[in-house]
Amino acid sequence: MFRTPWVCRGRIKALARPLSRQVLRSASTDAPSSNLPLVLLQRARNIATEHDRLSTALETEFDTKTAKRVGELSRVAAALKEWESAQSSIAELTTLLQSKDEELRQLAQDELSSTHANLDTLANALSTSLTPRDPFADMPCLLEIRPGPGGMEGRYFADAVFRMYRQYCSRMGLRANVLKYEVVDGDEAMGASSESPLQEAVLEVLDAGAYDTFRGEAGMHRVQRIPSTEKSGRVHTSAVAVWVLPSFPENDSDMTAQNFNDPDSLFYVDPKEVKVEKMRAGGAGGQHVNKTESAIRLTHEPTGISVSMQDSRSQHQNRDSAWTLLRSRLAQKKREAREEEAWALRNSVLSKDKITRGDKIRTYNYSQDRCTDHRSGLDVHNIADVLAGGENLVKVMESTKEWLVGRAIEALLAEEEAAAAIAAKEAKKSKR
Amino acid sequence: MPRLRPSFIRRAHNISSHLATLLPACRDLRSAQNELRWIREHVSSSLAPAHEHNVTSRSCVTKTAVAVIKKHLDTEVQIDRLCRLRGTRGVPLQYVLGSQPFGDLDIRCRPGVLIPRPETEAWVFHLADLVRNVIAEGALSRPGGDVDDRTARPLKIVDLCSGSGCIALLLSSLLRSHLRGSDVDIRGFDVEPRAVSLAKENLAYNLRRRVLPRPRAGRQNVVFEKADIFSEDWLASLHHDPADPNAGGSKLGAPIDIFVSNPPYISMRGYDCDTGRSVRNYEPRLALVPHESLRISSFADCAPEDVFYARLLEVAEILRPKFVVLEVGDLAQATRVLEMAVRAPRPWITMEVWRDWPDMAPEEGEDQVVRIGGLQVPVRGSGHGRTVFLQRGA
Repeated sequence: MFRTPWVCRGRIKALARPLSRQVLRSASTDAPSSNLPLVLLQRARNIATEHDRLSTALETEFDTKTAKRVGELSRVAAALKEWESAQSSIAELTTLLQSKDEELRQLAQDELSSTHANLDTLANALSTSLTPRDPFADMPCLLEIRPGPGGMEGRYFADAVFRMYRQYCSRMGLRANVLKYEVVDGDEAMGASSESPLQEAVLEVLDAGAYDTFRGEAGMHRVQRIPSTEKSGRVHTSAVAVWVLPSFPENDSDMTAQNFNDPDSLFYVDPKEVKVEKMRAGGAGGQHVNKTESAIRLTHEPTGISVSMQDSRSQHQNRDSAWTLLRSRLAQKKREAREEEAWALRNSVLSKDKITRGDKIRTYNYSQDRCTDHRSGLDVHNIADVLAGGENLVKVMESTKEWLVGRAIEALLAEEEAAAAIAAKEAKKSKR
Repeated sequence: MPRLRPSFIRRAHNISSHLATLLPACRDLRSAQNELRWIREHVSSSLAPAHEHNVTSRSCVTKTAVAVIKKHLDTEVQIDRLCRLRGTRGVPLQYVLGSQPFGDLDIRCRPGVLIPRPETEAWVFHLADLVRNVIAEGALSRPGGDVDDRTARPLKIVDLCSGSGCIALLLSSLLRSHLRGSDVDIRGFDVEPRAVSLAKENLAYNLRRRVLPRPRAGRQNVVFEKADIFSEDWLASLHHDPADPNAGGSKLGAPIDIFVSNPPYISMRGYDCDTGRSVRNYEPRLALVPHESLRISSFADCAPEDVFYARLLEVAEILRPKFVVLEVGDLAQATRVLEMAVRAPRPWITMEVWRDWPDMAPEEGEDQVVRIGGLQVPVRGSGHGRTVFLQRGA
């Protein structure tokens, strides 16, 4: 054993290392720290006191506005209560450690370690509850998939990405609807998976909360593989853009009616600003011809955003789909503009991490059979499973979501610290 | 029709042999791809449930395997058959699939009855919007009655040359959802028995699909009947109907509210030159070109393709509708119809021409007004002149 060459010894040592370190590589970011920063705790306490005050007020006199606010705050208050009870039980257990009874000490020791572990998750839950919820989180969404610049390879991979999400939806039991599926003329399906050269595809996921599920998927998805058209076997790198847009819940009368016609709503589109174009037949139209297609194009003139739709046989449905898509695109754009303002105001270091559709978020490397998320730093293998919307894709998407929450907490922290610094300055001034 | 280039067909064939089959009818790759998708959807939805029964194998595993393979084969055979019908024989897709979406409705289509057109769908929507606004203003209530009174009296609509029934059914669907407490009474007439039976079938089918609202109190609100609108008997039957609103849906009873028609309006020459091949080969000529004998009989002074409008305006004098909407072939025909309408004994207070897409902004070079004698008649929307709209005061 001791005469084993040093090379082998190194390998044995490597085997002894915990396995998880190999799989979980924290490349670009660290997991959010588990011990709660003081500023956050302070904020949570403030919210909890407000919650208590409002709920006692509610007991004497009911007011819808107050009730709504209490509902919003209760998440934080509950999380804080749990965290504090864990905290106090730790204090209790620590005193028990001084006990003279050997058995009791042992019990306290065991209990303490489990409570400590629990405390981490509670602290995490508390900081998560403090982050502002995404305004679209409860909405259904539209997934738009488009090839990135350059070449047919991107188009083929776009089809693979489209299928990945569709299969993911059917696996997870989400109701998905293909609004648009447009392939480029004149090129055949190819490859083992018979991908088609995709021009643009829109997948509507109808379940409430789908936006929250998919919001981490927006961005550039990079692929590195040998295209089946490539004769000399070189690896190509291309990209596919995925946009995630909030969409309207169907049949949700109070939401739809309000938001469609309320000019303050993100979904409000002034019909006067939209130019409607229909496909014109060359001939006399009417009874003279029996066209089967009814293409429609909507152009929002102030922004130049345009949507065209011709997938359905029903012109009515094409028009509805086109409006849905246009509304969602405009809402996303307006929201981005609003966020841009918010970020500019905060002027935070974090602003560079804001995810827009320009950033590369994930790489699918075929030759290494690996899929890497660049934000969470998670690496998973078995790319076939990822592209089939399987267990591994679920893992990647969850890691992304965790990362997003972590980001939100950091942003919150930065905000709180800035506010605290300003408050301190003010206090100093007033002292003088 | 220009010949398809062999290289083009080859390219389509490389994607799918079905596309190459569809190409002669579709003429371009994208619409061929769309149509192939629709055919596939149609086949898979129509084949889906019927296949569990006719498989008789011993073990359960082979049973399902055989079923899957058989289903796949059947699907492919079906798709191939439908593509050939559409592409090689040039049958309209609507006849191949047996249906055409029309607004929210799904209208069954069969040879012998005209296929609903998107332009028709557009003007029906426009008309429904207009009528809704008028109702909202309370102007469509019974003469002398107040606004609440309209609950007592249904909105009366007559559709002549109703064909597949698409106009009547869509109006019913669009208006009834908006007429709270009130009702619509629609009568459709067509000379072709196949059209009448198809329209009845469409009514029942869309009621089953729950796209159309259920009739109240078991009374049928939409009725289709066979009638020759040129026959004197039919015209006389209109006269004899009592103008009693309590008579119910079985009597026509002037005055009615809305009078619509999409009559045959293509000239003989237009039929030979301007119509699509699949229209000429498969759609009924009866629904497209007015029969020559009609002109000789009573309306010798108007163009043969305008015969129906002369008759429709006569009928309108008897039924005294508040709104008249007649589909026409082009702006020139619209002008001729307006000239006839101007000569009516009782004047129309509003006259308009709607183009193909009445809600769209007009393009450059599209006139927004036509002159009829000394009158200026507004032309709305964009596209070909498609409908003549007439309104009389309440």
